[in-house]
Amino acid sequence: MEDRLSSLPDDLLHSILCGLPLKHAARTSALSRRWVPQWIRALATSPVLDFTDWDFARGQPPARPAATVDRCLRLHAEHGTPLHVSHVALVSVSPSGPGDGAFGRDVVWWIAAAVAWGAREVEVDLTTSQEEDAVPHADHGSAAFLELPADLFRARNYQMQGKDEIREQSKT
Amino acid sequence: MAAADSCDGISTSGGGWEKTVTLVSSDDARFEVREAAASLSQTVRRMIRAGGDGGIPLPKVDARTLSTVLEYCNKHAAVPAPAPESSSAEAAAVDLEWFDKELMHVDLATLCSLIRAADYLEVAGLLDLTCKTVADMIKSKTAEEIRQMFGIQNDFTPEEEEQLSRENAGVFE
Repeated sequence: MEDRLSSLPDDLLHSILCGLPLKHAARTSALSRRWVPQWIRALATSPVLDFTDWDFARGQPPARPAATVDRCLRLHAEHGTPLHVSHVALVSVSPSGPGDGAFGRDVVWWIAAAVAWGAREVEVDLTTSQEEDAVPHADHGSAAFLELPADLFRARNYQMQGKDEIREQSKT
Repeated sequence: MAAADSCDGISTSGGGWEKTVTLVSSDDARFEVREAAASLSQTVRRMIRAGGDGGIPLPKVDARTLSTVLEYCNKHAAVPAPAPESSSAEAAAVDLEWFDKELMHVDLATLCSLIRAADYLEVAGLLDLTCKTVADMIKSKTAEEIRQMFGIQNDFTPEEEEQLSRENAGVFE
């Protein structure tokens, strides 16, 4: 049987992959060499980056989806595709100390990058599995938040404490 | 042949009171189509505007594929715009949805040809429909199931495969 699907040009494979939930799109990288880079390129050519599919990060070591977001934002910059919206939601598992493991530095970079590339709407949700110490992230993190133009982004930090959810919206 | 089918009905009903254009496939089949339907293709629309005689050549689409594309265009262009939220609007939407579903009952090779044609002809609705159809086929299947369905060759070396499954632990469970 002739493989008509894989012989479609990249941009058409991307159109197909964009219609799939993130996790299912990611799975196609296991099909063949041709498919390895396609799903992330598909993401990188879209004006809307949405990493809020909880199912995607589930079962992966926490650093992995963070690295994916990173790679995707970099690819986006390389492509020069306009970026309108960037949403990231990740579970940050058991930081060993303030600012460590909770993607503190990553988050700052993601927001800065998304804003720099023109995103009008940037949202980062982090649900931490630990209590108390995760929200303030690192000091350098807060400082970097302050340096961003406040009207361009919206950053939310979610902290889970049992059944209560505390939301902090960082402004200016 | 399907090409003749899609021409007949239109040339009689369209003659005189509805403007038609002639599209010519890569294998030289001629299709006479209502302009309103043909204009769902942005590519054709541009060529109509540019003018010219003797039909619009579409060298990247064969007759079989083009006839399916035109089936889509004829149906979608035929739907009048009734008052929104009326019961007839709802019925028309249901009818279109059913039509689209039926149209996608084709083999994989045809589906891939339709994707290429919809892209080349810039029929946005059909491109969405065909890509969504393939996406739905891929969804919720394992890599091996997808390979088998589409005849995709696994060209990884055992080492690469091992590395991939290590890197993607969790994604492929």
